[in-house]
Amino acid sequence: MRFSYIVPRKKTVLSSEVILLLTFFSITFLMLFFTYVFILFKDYQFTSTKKELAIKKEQLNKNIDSMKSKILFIEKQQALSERIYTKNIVLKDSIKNMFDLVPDRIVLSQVHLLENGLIFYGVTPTKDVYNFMLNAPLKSIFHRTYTSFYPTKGGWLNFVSKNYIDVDLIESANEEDVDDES
Amino acid sequence: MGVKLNIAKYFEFLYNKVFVNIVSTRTTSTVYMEMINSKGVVISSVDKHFKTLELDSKMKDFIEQYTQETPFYYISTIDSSPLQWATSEVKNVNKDKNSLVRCYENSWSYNIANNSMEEIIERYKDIGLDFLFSPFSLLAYFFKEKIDGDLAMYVLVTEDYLTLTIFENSKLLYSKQIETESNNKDYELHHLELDLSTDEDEEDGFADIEDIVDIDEETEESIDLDDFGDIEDLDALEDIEEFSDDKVEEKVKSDEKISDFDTDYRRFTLLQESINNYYQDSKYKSDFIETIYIADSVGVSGDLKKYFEEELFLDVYVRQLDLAYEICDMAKMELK
Amino acid sequence: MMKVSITRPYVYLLILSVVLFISVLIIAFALLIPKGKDYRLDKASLRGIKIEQNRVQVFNDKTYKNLKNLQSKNRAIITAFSTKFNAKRFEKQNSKFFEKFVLGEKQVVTNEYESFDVYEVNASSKIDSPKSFYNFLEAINKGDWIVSVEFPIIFKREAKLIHSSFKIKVYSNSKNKIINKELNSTK
Repeated sequence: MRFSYIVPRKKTVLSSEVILLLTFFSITFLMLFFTYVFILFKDYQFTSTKKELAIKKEQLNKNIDSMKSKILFIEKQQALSERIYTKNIVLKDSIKNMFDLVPDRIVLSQVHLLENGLIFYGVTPTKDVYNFMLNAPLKSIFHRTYTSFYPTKGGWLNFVSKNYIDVDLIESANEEDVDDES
Repeated sequence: MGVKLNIAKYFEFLYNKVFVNIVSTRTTSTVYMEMINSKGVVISSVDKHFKTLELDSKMKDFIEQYTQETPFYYISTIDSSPLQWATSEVKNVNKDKNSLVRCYENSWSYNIANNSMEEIIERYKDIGLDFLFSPFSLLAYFFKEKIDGDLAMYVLVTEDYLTLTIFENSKLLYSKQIETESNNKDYELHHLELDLSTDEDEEDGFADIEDIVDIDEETEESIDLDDFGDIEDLDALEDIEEFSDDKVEEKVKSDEKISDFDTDYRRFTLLQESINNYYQDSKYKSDFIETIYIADSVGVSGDLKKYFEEELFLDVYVRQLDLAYEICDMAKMELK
Repeated sequence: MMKVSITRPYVYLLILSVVLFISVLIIAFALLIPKGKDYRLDKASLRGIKIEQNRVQVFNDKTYKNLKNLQSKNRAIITAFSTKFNAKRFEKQNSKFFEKFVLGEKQVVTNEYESFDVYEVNASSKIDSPKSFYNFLEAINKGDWIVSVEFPIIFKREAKLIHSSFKIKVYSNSKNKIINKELNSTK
């Protein structure tokens, strides 16, 4: 000090009350700030989780779709194979029935199995045997039956039996059945 | 907290500054307060006298009325005790552990006794103290443009004391703090004289009484020797003294715009004696003094001037001074 | 009652507390409360999303189980469809039914069924009795490939044996679709 023996006391705007007030409010502001930061953080967390889940969901859906199509395909395979199997068995049964149909006295030389028909080449002792034993059942099964004979050296008859099922008639018969039932 | 304080500076404009300046005599105090706004312009000032030396509740309330308005208030006072002096020694100033020393612009120092300082601080402990000034430094500051000139004597005249200094070219040659007697004869005079070798620091009142007796004799002698014509004055002096015996007045500054003839003479004699000491003592250079500057805070009569002119053939320049106002000025200077 | 003098520092203190208090209120109401509301809404919607996610996950697991089930039940069929037809092997496997069994070249006949390739192969064989043929027809259902016997089937008596010629159709997964490759893997 230039003149004074003593140095003046410290003078400040910040009295103890002011400092108390500022401390209190700065703590308050700090808490508000931390809350705000926390909320921002949670917001960020939320958006990233949302994105994550959206991606996962997308994946899952894709997965589900692919699995569904696989399942569909397997079902198709299953259906087809079922059909084929039954077809083969039905074929087996019908061939069996066919051969059972033929009596012992008639000897076949050729059988042509067709989609819609059956052709026999064979030998029969007499016409009657053929007509009774083979032709009659054939007639009952097939829509159209044609037989032609020509004799053999041994006194037996060679025959050619052509039998056809007409698909249209079957279809219309089915329709009749449906109408009858309804 | 360091950072906070720096920011706090920007809010100082919110408040005014208040300078509280207390000038005390043995029985009274004067409180002068100035309110300065943040630009440095004086807004208002107020001035009150109290019939007490110590800080009583009325004085405290008066001061606090203004200091409560701002944290930036500075309470200043001046030491009016006899236990202070000035020396031209600047080095080795910490020699005396019983006093506090300050340097004035590297050429001389002024001292106060620790006891006096503590007493003053204790006196104002309820409001606190920011600045404590010495009348020596006040005197030097008041006459600062004259001090670096030729050899001259500078005297501060107050109610209770005289402060005497002799400067030449800013160098302090001689200094003395003199207590003037009061009108009430019950008070003892404290007249303390200090040499550069400070061993003769006397606080013992009894020793002073002997001095006083001696001085009285000396004064009378010197008057007889020097000026015949003054004997008449002496009679008048005695008359006035007897007259004032009946009055036991406490000094109130407003009542005494012109001090007693009696008092002025007393002052003159005390000063003259000190000057003689200065001349006679071989320690001092003792060129003849031709000029005296008086800082008058009480309103001396023209007679004092006459005494110096006629008795000592000095050129006398009297400058009026308001002690409290000057203290305020110095306080403001401290803050620059 | 405590008396506080209305000094300038006191006024400033009051103003400061009012200002700070109001700013706290402003911040709380302008900033935090809307953000808080968003937060709560987000939380609720997240919960919804998680529930939805869970639902999808459950469905996924169910479908997976379903798939695995089908795959294990139909393993034979699946492999049969995916196996490339090898005529020689087919001959070998089924020759036990026949005295002689010969397969011709295969020809691709597609578009009969979507996503399946169908090959036609001519077969001729000699059997001693129709019983062998029946066994053959039963056996192909359990074979390495999906095979059906097609009309026309011709039986001709040749001395002690019956010469039979017929067509077989082999069904396998379509090679055109890349997807089938994935489908064939047991995922």
